[in-house]
Order: sequence, then structure tokens, then C-alpha cells
Amino acid sequence: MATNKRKQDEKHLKMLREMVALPSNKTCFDCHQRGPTYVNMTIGSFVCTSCSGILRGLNPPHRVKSISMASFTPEEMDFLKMHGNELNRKVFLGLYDNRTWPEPDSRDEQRVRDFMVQKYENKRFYVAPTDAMREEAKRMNEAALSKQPQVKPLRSLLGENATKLVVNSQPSQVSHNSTPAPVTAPAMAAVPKPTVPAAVPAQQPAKASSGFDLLGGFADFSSFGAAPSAPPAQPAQSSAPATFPISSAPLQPFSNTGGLQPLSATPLNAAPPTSTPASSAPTNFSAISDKYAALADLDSTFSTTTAAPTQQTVNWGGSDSTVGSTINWGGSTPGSTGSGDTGGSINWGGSSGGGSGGLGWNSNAGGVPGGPSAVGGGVFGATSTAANPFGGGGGGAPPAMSQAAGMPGQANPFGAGGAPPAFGQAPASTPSSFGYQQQFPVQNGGFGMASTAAGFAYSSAPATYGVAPQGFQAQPGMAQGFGMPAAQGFGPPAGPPPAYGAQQGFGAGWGQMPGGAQQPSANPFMVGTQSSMPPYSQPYNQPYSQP
Amino acid sequence: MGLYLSRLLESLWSYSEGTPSRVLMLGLDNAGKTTILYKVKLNDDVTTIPTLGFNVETVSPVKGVTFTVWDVGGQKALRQLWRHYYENCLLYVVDSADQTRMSESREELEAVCGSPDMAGVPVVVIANKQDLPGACKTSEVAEQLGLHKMTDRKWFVQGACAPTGQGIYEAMQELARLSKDFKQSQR
Repeated sequence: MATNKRKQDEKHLKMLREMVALPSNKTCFDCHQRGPTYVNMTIGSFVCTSCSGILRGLNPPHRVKSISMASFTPEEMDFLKMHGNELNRKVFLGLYDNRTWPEPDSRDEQRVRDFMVQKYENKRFYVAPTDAMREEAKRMNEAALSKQPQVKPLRSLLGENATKLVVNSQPSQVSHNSTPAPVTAPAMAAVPKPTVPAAVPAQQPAKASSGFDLLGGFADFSSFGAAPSAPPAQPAQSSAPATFPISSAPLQPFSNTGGLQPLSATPLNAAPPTSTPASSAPTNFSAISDKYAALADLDSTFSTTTAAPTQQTVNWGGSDSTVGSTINWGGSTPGSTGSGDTGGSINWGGSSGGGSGGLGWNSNAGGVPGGPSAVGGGVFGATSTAANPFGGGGGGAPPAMSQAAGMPGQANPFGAGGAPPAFGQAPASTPSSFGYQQQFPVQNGGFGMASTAAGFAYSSAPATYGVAPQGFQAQPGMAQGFGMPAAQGFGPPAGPPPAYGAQQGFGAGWGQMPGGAQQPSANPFMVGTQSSMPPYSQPYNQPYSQP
Repeated sequence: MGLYLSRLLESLWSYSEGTPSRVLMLGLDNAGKTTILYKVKLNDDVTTIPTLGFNVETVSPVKGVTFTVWDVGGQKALRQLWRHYYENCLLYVVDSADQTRMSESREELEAVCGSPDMAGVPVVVIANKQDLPGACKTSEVAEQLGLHKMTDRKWFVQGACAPTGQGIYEAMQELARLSKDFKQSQR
């Protein structure tokens, strides 16, 4: 008896779930929020939790039942089958005209309630249901319900030909190496670029993408403090910016980071296929066993930094000759301009404009020669179809990370330069990788902002920044994680820190993943600073170390 | 002598607002438990959503009486959890206008009272939603819940209307009285 009842309950629950999955029932009948969790047993509609509360308070109150917390009798199930949101729309909103009575925003509870009072108490839009309507609703519901469970074998749908669909055939189209195509994405079209990777051998795109990989450039920690000795192998190419397939408009912020710097000054080497010192990418970080050794350097760098605050140069993979607290992430700053950098500018992968105090996240940068990984710091914003996630170079004193003008689509996760440089707020749960499937979807979160978190925590893994196969062509196997060992804290230098945007987390995954295997991994790069240097001690698994 | 003194002390204590006694509020879903709780707490008619889990508030409905009221969700699947909250004081809320579920409510009440943990615990039944058309009268509610057959404990039925607060305070007052009696009879 008891088991019978339980079985029945289970059956009803299953039916209910199927009913909720019907298109018309997928949203709350009253506020259109997705995923109703309650049923209104008075009229047989599916509603959300907050609307169920309001319904209970109507006069006369409607009876609501939780889908998961209540049990239903067969009669109730029949009732629901006969009704549902579709029928109720015809009944309670039969005379409804949204021009005369706009439907309230679901967030405004008071207006939702008022609307419901009109709808149910005053029956302003009410049309008496006929039996025919009920029958029809029931028929449709049952049809839909009975149809759903039928999961036909694929073969029966496709016929015998189905076997021809072989998975193998796919790679030819999408394979990592072969296609420069991804880079070409629509965004590229907009930009006139002489040296499009398309012409380039398979590896090139990878490199370009690696350019993308900010951290790639980044990865070269050894160059961190130590001024990179290697001269940029490639002459700065003025045309380079063009090569970055960044969509049209946003290009600008890019090229002039800080606005002061002539393009030519920036070695943008990432793009040019031929340039190869950069190609050493595979040697990157995660690959090398002694990758942490580099960190040690970093560490020492930082500590030395504290000693001589004036010399705070952190060059992340770029060659840099600047003096003065400049952090150049992967970009090579030519000495000349560098000299201009006096005041704590942070240049993320870009050619640092002379602007003092500017934070440029942009990437002009290119493959930074000299760096072992040479991947070119261009990560931010370089390459890819999309977009300069990091926005344009911020020249502003407050580290506006991106002034980037309207980036295409959602790009520029880093958000336009609001005063506090929010680097795109990434939902904590999402894998932080800067996913590239297409356009740096913001959701992937790059640079998620973690308010409190400090630390450049890198995920240890090769993580994130996974380059999707199509997107940017990662070099397979490259797994270039910018992975920084968590343990290795870069001790916060006591000195005046290059504030990377105060309070601001910057968690993103960098590190190129081998062909798109996106690891959900975590946070790569969190920078949070509060006036002091970002301690790099963030433990790694923690994605965005949310507060 | 010492016993006498301590009793005296305790009775004095109970008049002051010392440790609030704990009250468990149960009832079927949609009976109005949460609304009652917040009406007493905030003197406001709040729009509630179906309770998952519980709400607990310390309220002082009547002068000199302080309760910590546990309001536990009443949906079917949540009723199994009630037993974890059993207390020495029970408020049972019934939707007087919901005739069809009166028997269900009765079964649940009997199940609660049948538990050894709740033996002899006084029950105050709030016949809520008296303002609605078609609501049972208080006496009918008592009848339908089979309270008259409940001889092993003290019970009390109070008609109420949660949004206006009508009847709630009386119920709380009565509950304070019954629970005090019960506590005294316990020792």
C-alpha cells in the first residue's frame, strides 16, 4: 500500500516534470521566470516560487503546491493535464492586450501582484473556458507528454544512411592545426590585415593564439624582474595591430595604449608568422619542469623590488628597458618609451605607452621575444576573433583596465573603463577559462573580479585559457598554463605596488589548453590588490576566490 | 523549603521575560503559519512564499510572554521533518476554508500527538482564515479535527485571521497559559 503510493507519487512527479518541460509551461505563468517550481492547483498553471507566494495571498487565495514537495492525486494530475499555462493564457489573459496593460517586470513584486489582482480577482482579461478548450488543452498536453518519452533511436530517424555519419570526418574541418580559419572569424574580416595568419602554416595560428595567451607572455616569469635581455627579434611592425584580428572599431584602443605611443614603437610580434623567437612557446611554463624556478626569480624580483622601489619593473615576458615601476605584461616596451614610464604603469601585454600610471591591458604585444614562451603577451585582446578582452589600453591614472570602445559583442570582459577597473565579473562557478570558443564569452569569465581576493593565483593546471580548437587554434599539447604554483607566493613586496587595480580580482585562466579541452579549472590569475602588491600566494584551485 | 523557594523563583522568572519558551508551529501547507509568525513578529502582513525548512523568530505577542516560535514548512514532503522539532508547546494551524483537506489536517495532527515525544503536550489550534467565505467556524474545526476525542491533553481552538492579526494574540495568550500549566505538571 505504502509502496504503491510511493510509486504513484513517483509516477506523478515524473509526469509533472515532463509537463513542466513543455514549452508553454517552462516559464512561470505569472511572471515568466523560467523554471516553475510550483503549481497553482486552483487554475492549473505552473508558477515560480515568488508568484506562488503572491497567489496564496490573493483573495480568494489560490492553492499552490510545490512540484517537488507535495504529492498529487490522480485527479489533480488530470486537472493539471487539462489546464496548464497554455489554456490559462487563453482564459485569464484572453482579453489581454499588452498595449493597454503592459505586463509588469518580474522583478517588481508589487506590480506583479497588482497585475495578478487584475488577472485573478478582477478577472479583467478573463474569458470563460469552454469544454472544447479544455479538451484541446488536454489533448495537446497528452500528445506532448506521450511524445516526449519516445526517444527514438537515431537510426529510426535518420534511416540507414545514418551510419555514414562518422565522427572521424569531423576533424578535418575543425582540426586544430589545419585551420587558420578560426582566426579568420568574422571579426577578422573587418580588419585589413596584410599578414593574415591564414596564409600561415598551421603552427602560426597557434602562435597567434598563443599571442592571445596573455599569460603565455606572462608565463615567462623569469623575465619578470630581470630585464629581459633578449631583444625583440622582430622589428616592431607598425602594421601589426592590423593583423590582430580584432574586430574593427575596438582596434583603436589597442594600438594606442596610453595614447602616447606611436605604433611603431610597439613591437607587435605576435601576429607575424615568420617571427619566431616567439615560437618557442612550447617551452612554456607548464611544460617545463623548472617552471617554478622562474617563479623563484619572480619572487626574488619582487623582493628586490621592495628593496629598491624605484626599480619596480615587472616585465612579464616582454623585453623592457623601462625603469620606474612599470609592469609590463608580456609586451615589449621599447626602451625609449619606457623611459617615459615613470610612474607605476602597468602594461599588460602591451606596448606600454609612455603614459605614466597607465594600465594597459592591451595587447599590442606580441610575441615577446626573449621570453621562453615567447608567446607573446598579446593575450589580452590579441588575436582572436574577439576581442581584446582586456579592453583598450588604459591610460588613465586609475587603472582603468579598459577603455576599449565598444567591443564587439560581449567581448571585452574586462569591462569598459569604469573607474574601478572591473575586470568583468565572472560568475564564480564558471570555469574561469577565458574560453575561447568564440568570442571570449564573458561568461567564461576571464579576469573575473574577485573583490577581495588577492593574489595572482594561478591554477596550477594547464588550465584555462583553453583555446578552443576552432577559436584560436591552440597549439596542441601546449598546455601552457600560466600555472603558477600556488605555494609560491610572490611575497607581496612591501613597497609601493603596482596596484593592479585596486581591490580587483583578476581571475582568468590563461594558459593555453591543448585543443580545447577546457578544464574547468580554475583561476588563473587573480590579482587583487589593495594598495599593496598582489600577493601571489593565492592557492590555486580557487577559481576566483570569491569573497 | 529549598524546593519551594526555587519554584517561587521560577514563577517569578516566568513573568519576567527570561528565557523564552519554545513553541512549535505546525499545520498543513498553506495554512498560514508563516504569515501568523510574521504578523506577530512584525505586526505586518507579509507576503510569504512556501516555507522550505523553517522560520524561527522570538516573538513577544503578549506582555510578559516571550516565545521562540519555530515555524516549520507544512508541505507533504516536509512533514516528515516535523518530529525533529517536537517541543513542549504546539501551535497547530488549520486553514478553515480548506474543507477538502480538513481530514488530512486531522491525520497529521493525530500523527503528531500520537508521538511519544508529544505526549500530553498542550495544543492550541488556530482556525485560520476565518475571514474567507466558506470558512468553517471554530467549533466545526474542532469537530472535524476530532479534538473532542483528544482527552490526553489540553487543547484550545481559536479562530483567527492572520492578515489582520485577529485572534492570534488570544491564541498566544492561551498557549502561554497552557504551557505553563503543562510545565508545572511535569515536575
